[in-house]
Amino acid sequence: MSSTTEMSKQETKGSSKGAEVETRQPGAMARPEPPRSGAALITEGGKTQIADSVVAKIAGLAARAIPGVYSMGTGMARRMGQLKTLMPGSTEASTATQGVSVEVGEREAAIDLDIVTWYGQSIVDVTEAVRRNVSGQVEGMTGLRVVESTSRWTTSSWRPTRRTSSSSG
Amino acid sequence: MRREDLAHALADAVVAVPGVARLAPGGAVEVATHFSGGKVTGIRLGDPVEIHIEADRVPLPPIATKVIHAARRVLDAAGEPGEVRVVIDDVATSALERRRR
Repeated sequence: MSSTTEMSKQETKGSSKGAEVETRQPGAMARPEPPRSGAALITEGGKTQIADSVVAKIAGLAARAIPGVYSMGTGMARRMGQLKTLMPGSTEASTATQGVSVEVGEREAAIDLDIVTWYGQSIVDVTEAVRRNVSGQVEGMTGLRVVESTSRWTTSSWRPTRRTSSSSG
Repeated sequence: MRREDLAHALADAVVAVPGVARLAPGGAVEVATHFSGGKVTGIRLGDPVEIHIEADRVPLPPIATKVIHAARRVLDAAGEPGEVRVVIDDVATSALERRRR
């Protein structure tokens, strides 16, 4: 599916990973689209804003839904997350945003993920599945376009049956 | 119309919208309309009028649209011309899990 899009620098908020991309529909006249203003998500009669924590929660649950994803978050965050699950009253929701950081613009969201997978999983395959699911769920539920989805990987050296708390990385 | 009446009217109209679980206090600093004897959480009568909600279903944009329309009806009836801004501060996790395949 091709479309005419242009990402303005302000949407990526100073991230050096962002890039200007412009594609044209095949057969369209060679007339450049005017740059999109940084207007808020203008619903009829007013403006809508979606909190970062909402996008992070959706992305976190979408990433964890992929079977190849063992856990989320860097070493220290995972230790804290494991301690949190031992405390009474914690649910999946309280760890849903672990390992996820987002920047929500007015039409777009940039999402960074810290993912832990099992040894022997294809990082390429799992990355593709995670990105597709995260983008699909975020875009479908919020209407925001996911423009940057970075996945940083740590591979656990323990096989799933061992399920100990230590891991490499 | 007194501020507190307007805030209560907005709160009642917003909570009645399907998909709105409740009004939300917002982030670290609570959003509320204060008056002698109480407050209405989630509504700030500024410019624009801010309404903070927690949603209990997805997708979100149609819920926001309905909230804006409901708020507009209240504001127009009260003769307030200001703009409306809806902030979705949280989504019920049960709504997200139902949708996951």
